[in-house]
Amino acid sequence: MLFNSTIFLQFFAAFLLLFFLCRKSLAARNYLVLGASCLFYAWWDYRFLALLMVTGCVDFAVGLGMVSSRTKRRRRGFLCLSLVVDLSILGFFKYFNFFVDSFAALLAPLHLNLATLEILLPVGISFYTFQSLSYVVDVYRGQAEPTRSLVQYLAYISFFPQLVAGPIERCRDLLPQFQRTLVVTGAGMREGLWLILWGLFKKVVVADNLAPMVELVFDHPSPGGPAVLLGAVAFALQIYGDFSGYSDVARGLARVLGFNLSVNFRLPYFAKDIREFWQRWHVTLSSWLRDYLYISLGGNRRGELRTYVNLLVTMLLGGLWHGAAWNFVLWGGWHGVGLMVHRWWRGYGSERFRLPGWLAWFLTMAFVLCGWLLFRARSWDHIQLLFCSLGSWTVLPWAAEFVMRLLMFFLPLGLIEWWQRRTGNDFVVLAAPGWVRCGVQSLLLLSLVLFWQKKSVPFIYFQF
Amino acid sequence: MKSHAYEVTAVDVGRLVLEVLAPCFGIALLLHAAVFLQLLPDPWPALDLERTVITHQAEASRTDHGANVVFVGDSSCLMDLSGTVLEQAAGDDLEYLNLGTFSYLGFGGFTTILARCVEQNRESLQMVVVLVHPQMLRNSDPAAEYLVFLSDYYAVADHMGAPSFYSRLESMLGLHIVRGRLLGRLPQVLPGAYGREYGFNLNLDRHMTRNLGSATDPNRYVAGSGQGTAEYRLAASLEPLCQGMKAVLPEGIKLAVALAPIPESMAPPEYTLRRDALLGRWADWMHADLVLTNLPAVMPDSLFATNTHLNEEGARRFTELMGRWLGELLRGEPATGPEKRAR
Repeated sequence: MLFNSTIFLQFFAAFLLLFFLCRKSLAARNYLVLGASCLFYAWWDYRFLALLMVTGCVDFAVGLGMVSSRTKRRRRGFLCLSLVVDLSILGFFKYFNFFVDSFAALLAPLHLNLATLEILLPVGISFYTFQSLSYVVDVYRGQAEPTRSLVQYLAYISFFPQLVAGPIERCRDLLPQFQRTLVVTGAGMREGLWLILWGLFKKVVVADNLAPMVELVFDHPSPGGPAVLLGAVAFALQIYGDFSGYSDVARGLARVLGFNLSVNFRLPYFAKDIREFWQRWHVTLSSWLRDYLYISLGGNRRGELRTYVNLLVTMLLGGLWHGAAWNFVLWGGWHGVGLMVHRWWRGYGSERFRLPGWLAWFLTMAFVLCGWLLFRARSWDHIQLLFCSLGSWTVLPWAAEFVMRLLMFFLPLGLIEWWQRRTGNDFVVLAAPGWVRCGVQSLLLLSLVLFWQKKSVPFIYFQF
Repeated sequence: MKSHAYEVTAVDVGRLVLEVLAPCFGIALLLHAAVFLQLLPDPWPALDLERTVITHQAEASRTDHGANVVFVGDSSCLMDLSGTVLEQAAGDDLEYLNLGTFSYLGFGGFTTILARCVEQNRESLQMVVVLVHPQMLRNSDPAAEYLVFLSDYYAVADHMGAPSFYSRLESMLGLHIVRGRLLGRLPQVLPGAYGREYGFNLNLDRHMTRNLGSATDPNRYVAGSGQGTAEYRLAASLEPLCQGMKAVLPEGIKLAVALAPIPESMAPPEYTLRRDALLGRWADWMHADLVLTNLPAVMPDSLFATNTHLNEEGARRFTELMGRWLGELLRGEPATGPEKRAR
């Protein structure tokens, strides 16, 4: 069930009604959320609901086990059990074929025939696995109290607005919301509706309309430098519109119900260095990687060289989290190197020479765009084609039309985001005079109806 | 424990919703008023591949080109005739125009387009060639939506799409006006191979104008991909539809009929003979003056882009034969190219 589908609108309307009816009982509301989340997930493929439940039940039991453990060794045993179960499920369903293929390629000279399996990737597996793991690690570290209610825990890891593509919520932020009375306010509802409208606009209008343009460039046998650059810009906007749109809708739906989800995107394309980019892009994954991987590896506590290695390893694994393909690893590595260079520059270079703001922004965006080429490429050959094309200045005959259409979808997005950044307020439109507020919201709604597709286009991050 | 409390009233929620919806209706009112007062440009809803072609051909049909020969037909007519070759073949004294469409409009649709063209080019027009793929004679139903689209375009009316809750909502909000009059004029990406070849709708439109209404199919034919499905026969239900075409032609304008070639790998045994018989019977139904029997019935697979369309080289060769024959015929010279059967 996709947010940008008519069936979801019907589902959510029915849910709202039931949610209203359950207002007097916390237990009933949690059962309702869990049931609706299961239905939401099963709509895609009911068989994989079992995986979600296994992950949830194991980690719930592990949490209780840790509390009852008296020795650290026993607690560590429980942690290992959770890691083994969660990562085995993730590894098998997401990475089995990738590793078999890579291994087969490595052993190709020996003519070994390694069979792959036809494995369907369960939607959202990376998101809910990381969310559940964060709970276990937090309980292990003593940073969170384990819940004693299975329903609350399952509702926490399967909460339908953020189940399949995040934000990856920490238990200390979301789990307590299933344990207390929520308050649905007029302001919260207004903000929620804005987030839903703005998120759907970014997805349905911006991302879905840029998608065929991106394909035009990335499927072209010899695109030429200008087209590759334009394609990279279009893809940067597409993936941003798609993913941040999803996150906004998720936050908006939750806000309408009285829940609060974490901010996942903070205007990332205004970043002036690569570290800032990662503080703004997919914030909940970046912070997850920082807290559970980078810090676990030693962070910056074990000397300068080890810090660089930790940065690189964290980003390589972050890249692999996105998808079982080498281009994602390469993309992660690219950003890892970027973060290493930035760290070095911050330590040594920036004292001697300070870049003007516009140049820092330009260099950061150029770096990010090159990264998106790696991310979007289909194969190693394709990466070569794209980067070699950058050296050719052949202009395809439709370049002017491409720019025109790109601007058509970029301008409204850029304008509102520029306004948000200037005021530092994500809800700046709601704070504007009545006629501006109503006008903008109505235009967003009309453009949604105009571009709404009968066959909903899935979100890019569903495949991760 | 209580689940949640509402610190918001139904009136607040109603106001919230109204705040968004009310201006939508205001904007809709403005759009409808702008159409009524003719403040907006005429519809030009070239929103995808099919509609770009229909829009182009409908526009071409209501323009005076001074055309001497007009081609009408299905997508084989659109793709199998090379605009460059036609231009070369035209010389100083003959003008060609291709009005073939991508989506299947049927003989009713072809007749509508032809009638407009005849109205505009009555002085110069000497011959109309109906060129279709033989499979079309099996009489598959024309695309009803595109027929409505075509008549809306000619009527300078905003096209609303097939009746549904969604199209009614769109029409109420005036969005079909935005779509047809504004959005269609902005670049729309074409799908698949057409996108890679042409890019956007505006590029295809310009290409067709430069090529006298013809387009090139950018696909690559996979030999044998259509084998087993080829069936060539003439559906009896076509007869009344065929007769309409001759009726729109004034005295003196000749009607010629021809069938597009098929790939070698798809041709059943003795296909040329069967094609000639099919063509002869169809020509009778059409009351055609000329039947182009000796244009190639079969061409090598390497000259095809799909089962039903020639590629650029194939279209060039086919058009050379067609152009040579038509030129000689219209200039009153003896035929040296493919034989013709005057009726």
